[in-house]
Amino acid sequence: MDTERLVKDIMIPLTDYPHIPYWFSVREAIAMIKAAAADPTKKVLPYLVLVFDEKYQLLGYLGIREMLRGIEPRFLKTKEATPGYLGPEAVDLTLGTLWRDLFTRRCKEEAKKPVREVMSPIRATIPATAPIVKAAFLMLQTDTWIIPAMEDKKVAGIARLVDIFKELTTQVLEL
Amino acid sequence: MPHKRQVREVMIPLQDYPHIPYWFTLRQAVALVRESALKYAGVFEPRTVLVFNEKYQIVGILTLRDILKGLEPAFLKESELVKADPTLAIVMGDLFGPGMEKQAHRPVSDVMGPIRATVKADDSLVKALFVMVKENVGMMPVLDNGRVAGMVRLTDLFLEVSQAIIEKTTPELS
Repeated sequence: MDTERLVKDIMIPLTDYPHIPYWFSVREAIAMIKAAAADPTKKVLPYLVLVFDEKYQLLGYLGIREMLRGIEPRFLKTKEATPGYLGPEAVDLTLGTLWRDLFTRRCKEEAKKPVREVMSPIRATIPATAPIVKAAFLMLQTDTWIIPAMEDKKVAGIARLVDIFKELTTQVLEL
Repeated sequence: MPHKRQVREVMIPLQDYPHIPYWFTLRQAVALVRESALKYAGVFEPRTVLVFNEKYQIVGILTLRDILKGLEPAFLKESELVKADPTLAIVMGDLFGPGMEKQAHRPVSDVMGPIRATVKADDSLVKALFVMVKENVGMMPVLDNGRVAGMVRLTDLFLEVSQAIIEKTTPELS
């Protein structure tokens, strides 16, 4: 039965998924995603980058929101300034008149910051030997589309909800 | 320049995106998603299905999560069993079992979610990006003259607006 399949049966090996050390820049993370998007041999378009330390311990991830925060800090801020915040003034984007002020040349400088400054923590991991149903459960609980698969306390690969969906629903079409 | 480019330039046209009437079953939705995934392999992976009524008006959106929860309603219920065994080792065999056949014939309207946000085809990429991030959605219906013309993906918008970051020479951006 497809529900007895294990995470390691369907995961993408870490070697095939974007990952970088925490001292790399946001620009390098974006370049990695764009290179994957432009690669015709890639069947999967990854939309986040995993972040590791020197010992290859998983520290966090950079998704679209994190990358946006990295290149345009004003983009995700509300109009009211956060107390103690000394950065660029927040923009009231609901006015619809300031789009041209966003994503300008300044973003190139902003993108030089290390990814550790904007990354988010990993919400869940799963042993590579766990059933795919458990992986799906965790991803639904944490509202994520991917989950790192662990072997001997190291990230061995990435399990994706779209792949697990395909496995779990195979039986549905036979009904 | 991302503030000048329009959503229609990067959207997936409706005819290429999975969409079904609200009375279709979860089984039919699964078949459609799998068929689209094969047809557009390497182009995009469908994670949602647009749901329409008889007048071809959009009435909801069905995600892969909605489908999974619809097929196995016990999946996310924090039953005493799950609390007792966080590893779910006990309940695994009961999930996606014989009861799934009945669930698979439920109409998608039972489990679909509301449309949280839409954008117009002639809106700028930056505006669309802002709406999607604010509403925390990965895909969003695109309207043209009040009708759904396609879907736009957060990833595509981001790749466009961040293009200048990657270019070695900086074009005039404003």
